[in-house]
Amino acid sequence: MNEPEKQVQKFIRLKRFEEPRDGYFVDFLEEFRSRRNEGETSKGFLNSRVSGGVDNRKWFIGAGIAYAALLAVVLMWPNGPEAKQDSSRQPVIFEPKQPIRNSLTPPKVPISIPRP
Amino acid sequence: MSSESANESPADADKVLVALAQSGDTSAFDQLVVRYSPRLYGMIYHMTSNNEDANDLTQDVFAKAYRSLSQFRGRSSFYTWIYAIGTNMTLNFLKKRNRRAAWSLDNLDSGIQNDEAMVDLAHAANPRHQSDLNELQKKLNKAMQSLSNDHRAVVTMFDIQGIPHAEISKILKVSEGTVRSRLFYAHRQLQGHLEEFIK
Repeated sequence: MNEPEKQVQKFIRLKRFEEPRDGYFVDFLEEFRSRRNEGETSKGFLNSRVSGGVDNRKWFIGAGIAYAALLAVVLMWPNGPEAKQDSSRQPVIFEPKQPIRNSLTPPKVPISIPRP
Repeated sequence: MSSESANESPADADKVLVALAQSGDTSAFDQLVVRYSPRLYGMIYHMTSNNEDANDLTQDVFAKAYRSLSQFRGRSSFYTWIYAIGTNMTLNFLKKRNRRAAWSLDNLDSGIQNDEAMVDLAHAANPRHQSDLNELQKKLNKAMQSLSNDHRAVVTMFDIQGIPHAEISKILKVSEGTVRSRLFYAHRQLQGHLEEFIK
């Protein structure tokens, strides 16, 4: 390890003296106990803060329900207004006049054998 | 609780506490919280550089460990296990926080400039800049935050917390070589940020 790298390490090690106030960890344990007693260990403190809080989550749930309802209406609509019976509109059936020839099958041409 | 005898190693004492906690003894788990919250909080604080985030995240780590305790089989030490939970949760949190537009380096916490031990050590490290501890701490925090999350994790665990390479590799589930190479590149990057303080 070279000298500048050693110096960097020395400086970074100073950060180990950054400690919370006296009594912080006593309060920390109390906070943990009360959360556990209230059954709140299943919830995260941070997820709500990072994702923007409970209101944001409610908005997402509401949007999801609205989308699901809209999708259900579209799927369950009885054929839609355009699909009503219209006698003037008959299905077009394509009927070829000649049999369709496959490019692989050779044309049926009479073979003429030249006479000597 | 008097389960920890004088000859018992910390790892053995942990095993006893974990077994008791798994059988429903909440006070045994509380002892694990007392034992590991300072180190875990320290790791998370140095990763996030924010006291409030570190507090909430450390609470969440213990809550998760409490919920998952039945799945802990003792293949690693409790210390490695809870550190792995803490590191994963912190890295996930940082990914989310980095996406938040509102968060900036101005939210970094400070406060070591009043610590006597810090003043002495800073003076020993570089007497020329003793008077500018506040500036040094700001630079240190900014330098740390300039590292990628993975690099900051190894610097925090190795340089600040003194965890050996082998232990870090178990916590992060990467090879020891990866830990060493991340440290090397992190130190090089930090060197650039702290240039003015290096003799």
